[in-house]
Amino acid sequence: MEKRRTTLDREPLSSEYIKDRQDFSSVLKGFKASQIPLWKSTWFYGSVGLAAVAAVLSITNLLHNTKKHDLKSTPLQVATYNVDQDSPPASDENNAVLERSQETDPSVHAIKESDPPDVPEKEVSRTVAPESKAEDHVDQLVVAEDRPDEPVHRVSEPVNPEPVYPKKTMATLVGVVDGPVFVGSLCASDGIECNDGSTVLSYTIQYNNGMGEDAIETIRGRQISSYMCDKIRRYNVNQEILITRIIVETPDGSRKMVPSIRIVPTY
Amino acid sequence: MAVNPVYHQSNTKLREELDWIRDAKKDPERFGPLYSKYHEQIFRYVYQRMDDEDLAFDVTSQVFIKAMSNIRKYEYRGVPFSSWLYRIAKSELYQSFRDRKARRTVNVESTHLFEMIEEFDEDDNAENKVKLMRILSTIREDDLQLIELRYFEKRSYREMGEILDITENNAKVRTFRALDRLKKQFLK
Repeated sequence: MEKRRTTLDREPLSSEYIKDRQDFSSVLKGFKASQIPLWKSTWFYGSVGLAAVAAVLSITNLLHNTKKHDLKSTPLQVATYNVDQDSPPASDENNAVLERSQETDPSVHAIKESDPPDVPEKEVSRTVAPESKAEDHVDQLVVAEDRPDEPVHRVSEPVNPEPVYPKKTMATLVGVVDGPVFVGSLCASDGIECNDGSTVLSYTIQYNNGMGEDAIETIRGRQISSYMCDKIRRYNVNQEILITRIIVETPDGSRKMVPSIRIVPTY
Repeated sequence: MAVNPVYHQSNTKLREELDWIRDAKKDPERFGPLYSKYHEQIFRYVYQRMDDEDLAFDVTSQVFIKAMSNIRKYEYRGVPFSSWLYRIAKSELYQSFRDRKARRTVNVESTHLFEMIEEFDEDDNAENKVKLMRILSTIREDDLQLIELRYFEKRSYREMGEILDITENNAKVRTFRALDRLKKQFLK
């Protein structure tokens, strides 16, 4: 079966004839027609698509960051009420209680943390959950500015769940908050001290008791016992010891938790 | 018949051509000199393989449009610009056959047939010519391409290799094998 046609001695075309049929302008026209406009090309769509995705991501990120920033800088709603009132409401009901209280009791008013511009956010008091007193869930006693004779409890609902402590009260061990401490000085000291005259009521210490794992003990008072000193001397030299949940009583009688201490006993 | 007289061009001409190519890369409208230089060669290559003259001109134009579109990709690495155009022409030609716009045709001259029959050590008579033409219309396309390039268009193995994108030696070997298969069919 014949696949293709065979021609014998076809009349050849002259070079002049072929030259006459040359038409570069029509080729150029065809070339221009065959060119895909930039906006129709895959490259264009790819680039634009990529740019759009990048823009959306950037905007989302920016909005997210702005939101985060706004949340951080949102003033805390603080309800105040009389000291002789019952225990403060649950924190998630604070707003409702605040509104009700403002309507019914003129002595109750809201204080915004941001009101005093010089008070940094970290100074916002928060509920300390100490041991077993009825008023333990009460944050601290404060005095309303307009009625200094009426002490009020302040209950706050911090947006940031991270504990915030009064800046001024710091507990130290041999004058150290974070760093190395000579074992001798540690054992000879009177224990944990506060820089503002507050008394340490209890603390939790995490150290190696020689039993192969870290012991976590809650100690009443501020002393480092001789038993503990012995363990520290034997098993904790050059190892980190954490002292956390340090509950102190301030000179005005309120209780609060102060920042933890991290020491490394050395010789 | 010397189909490709400008294949072996002087260094001056080659440099001039490379300048044209560089210009055409910057601005396709400056492809004109290259078009004028190679239009006839490419047309003859196309027309050799089809019977419709107008369609051959159309396919040739299409070859140059493709060349202008892809001129940026061309880099001179020893292979003449003409061989690059021939490769485009081959592609466009077979595309037109696939689109059924044109029918594959084998255009042969009596002298070519005579030379081949001589190579087969057979008598140059009308019967053998008809027989050879019939075989040429049925052999494999690859074999026909090689025979056309070598025996009908008188191209060197080097140029054949460049057009078919194979080595010169490979072109030689393949051509001998194609001729051998043709001979076997002819002597059957």
